[in-house]
Amino acid sequence: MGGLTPKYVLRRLGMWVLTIWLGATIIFIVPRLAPGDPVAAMVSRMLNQAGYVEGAAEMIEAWRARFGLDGPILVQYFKYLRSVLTFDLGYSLSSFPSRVDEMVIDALPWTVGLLSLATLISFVLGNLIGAMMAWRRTPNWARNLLPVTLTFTSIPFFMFGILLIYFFAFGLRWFPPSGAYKSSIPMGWNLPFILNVIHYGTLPALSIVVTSMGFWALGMRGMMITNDGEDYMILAEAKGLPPHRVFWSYGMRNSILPQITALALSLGAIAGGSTLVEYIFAYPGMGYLLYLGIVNTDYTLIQGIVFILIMGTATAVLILDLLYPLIDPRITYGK
Amino acid sequence: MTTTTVDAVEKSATRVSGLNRWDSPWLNPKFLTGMGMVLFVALMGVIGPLFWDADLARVASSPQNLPPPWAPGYEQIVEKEISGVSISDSAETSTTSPSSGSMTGGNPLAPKAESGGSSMTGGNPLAPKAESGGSSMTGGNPLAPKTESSSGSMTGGNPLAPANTPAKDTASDTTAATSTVRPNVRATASNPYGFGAPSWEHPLGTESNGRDMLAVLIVGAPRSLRVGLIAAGIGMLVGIFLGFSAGFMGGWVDNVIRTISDAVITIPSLAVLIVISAYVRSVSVENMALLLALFAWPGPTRLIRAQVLTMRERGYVQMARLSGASRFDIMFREMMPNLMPYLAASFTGNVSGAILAATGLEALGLGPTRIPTLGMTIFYAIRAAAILRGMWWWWGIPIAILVVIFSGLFLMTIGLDEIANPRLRGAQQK
Repeated sequence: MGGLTPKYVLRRLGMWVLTIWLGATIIFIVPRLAPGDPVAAMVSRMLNQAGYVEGAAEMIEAWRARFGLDGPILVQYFKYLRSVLTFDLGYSLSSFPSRVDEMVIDALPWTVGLLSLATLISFVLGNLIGAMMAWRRTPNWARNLLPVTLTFTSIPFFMFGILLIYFFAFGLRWFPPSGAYKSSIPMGWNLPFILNVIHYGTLPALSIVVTSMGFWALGMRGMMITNDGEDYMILAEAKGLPPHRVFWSYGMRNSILPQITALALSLGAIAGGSTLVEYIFAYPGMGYLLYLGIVNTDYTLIQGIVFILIMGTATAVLILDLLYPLIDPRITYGK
Repeated sequence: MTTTTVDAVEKSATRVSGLNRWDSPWLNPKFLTGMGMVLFVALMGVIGPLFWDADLARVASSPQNLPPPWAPGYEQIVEKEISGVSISDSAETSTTSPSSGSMTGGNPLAPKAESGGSSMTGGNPLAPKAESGGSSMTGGNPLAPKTESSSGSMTGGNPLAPANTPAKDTASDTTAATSTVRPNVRATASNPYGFGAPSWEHPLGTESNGRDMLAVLIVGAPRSLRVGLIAAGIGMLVGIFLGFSAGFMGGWVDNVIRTISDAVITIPSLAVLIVISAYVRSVSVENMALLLALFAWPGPTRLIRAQVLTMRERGYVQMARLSGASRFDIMFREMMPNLMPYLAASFTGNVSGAILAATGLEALGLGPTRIPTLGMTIFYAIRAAAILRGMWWWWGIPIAILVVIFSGLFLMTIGLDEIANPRLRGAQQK
């Protein structure tokens, strides 16, 4: 507990608030700088569809009031901040009676499940591969084989997802091309449903794992090589410790810490990239909901989802940052 | 930004001989390979228009890959397909027949008359019929398929003849059947007519809007590179400015810059960009680059700040300071050359990140709609279910080019990292 001083915790909390505030402000200001009025556009689209809408002008006014688009911009801004703080994300423009928060809550478990599992697997696998690549005792066959796993490193998640769909869903028909579960199986915490979810989730998860693994492997390899020259490693070997102990407790233990920092920094990018994966696989998470929002020009839905995404990554980073001093006893913050 | 990097690096490479691959990027195989890949794509945009008509990238300038129902020969083709299904039923491949049947049903019909007609003239199904009497197209008779298909599989009109090749599946049957009709075109079970598939007239195939894929690549690929270069360049300039300010001034300036860049780096930039471009809708390539630059600066800023902090107290910087060099001189004549490898690595990484974000936005349909870009091509392909229709060239070729770009930039980054960061060389030296 040495490193977890109140000052450090306060500073991290401050960062968390700042990140969320910055994100919320950007998604508030930029749309208002853009030309066009979402409500007017919305009503005119309804007019196009229905031919005539009774009291269109009143409707525009009423909706503006409802969505907080009337009044001076500062008042709007504070209203917006207040509603965001209370998680009141308003009504969806495209499927009006349903609220954005409800839609998000339905989609959230899928995203969190897919993303956390995929990131965890890729982090663990990638670090293992990287450490093995740098470890002197790695057998030769593995040393030659390991770099092959990094082939797909630079390909974006979603493009690899398309390739996976083509080969494994369309060509070989091993996995379904889209969705998260078979609709004929009733939802619930029973074995058939869970197996079904795993079956459907394999390809989306794979497209994240395979493409992001190499990033961790390269970082880990660099850290392990640095560590290898350190005195404590030489001492550990000289003492005659078993190799696996030197590898895990001396090599990995010291190299994993900067990797966790890197993980915290790249969570935002991973979350962004996975929205595209969900869109490709029509996986019913936040990313797919976001795509539906774009298709239906549903601005409140888009804003709400992006806010939740920003909030989610900021919180994940906060948790990692707060765990960090616990994992690394050498670091004490705040002095 | 890049030119100065290249110049400085080139000078140092030519000045000293006996360098190894960790001293100069021009001797580093990874960097050179990556550079070659990126240059290949760039050159394609420069030289391509000389060899291929880039105007074919316009909508409806090439045959669309969908057959219109009123096109000549359309009915015969449909019957061919039916015959293919029926023979596959008799050849006990019942598992594949429903799929091919659904393909026939699910084949969308093209609404455009002129271009649809042109697609049929590309490979007129009636012409081969006139030539080879063996491939008998028996008008509108629904009972004829058996003989047709057998002739399609080159067995001389005997419907039971497939017995010598009983394991033949639907795919090969339809391939055989349609190949007699359209000799230029490769058909598969999922795209039974092979419409839009690569052929002599269109080496990389065409897509549903009537664009020639090769022309799309020639026009689109350099655009993707340009978006990345502009965005990363702006991000780099801002990063240099802020990083030096933070590193040199320290105090509250440093605190503010560091805190904000730390905050921005954790925001999922793609998500915010989606909001922005969903509102702005019609973005030009340049505007898109500017948007992407919004999130390209924190990386370089952090990097430069950290390096400046370690360099500030080094001997040569103190020497320069003592000899009365101005702050500007210290920054750009003393520190900058030492930062070059880091900056170059960060720049290539940023270019790749910006292209990734740009293609991501385009793949969601938020890119420029008037000009063909690689990302928009992927978007159209996904929307038209090209993956499940087996039209691999439609989405596969843009992805292949993007993979070349990304892999090239990635190799360049790794190569430059090896130069900037001596630690990473360790394993190879042993």
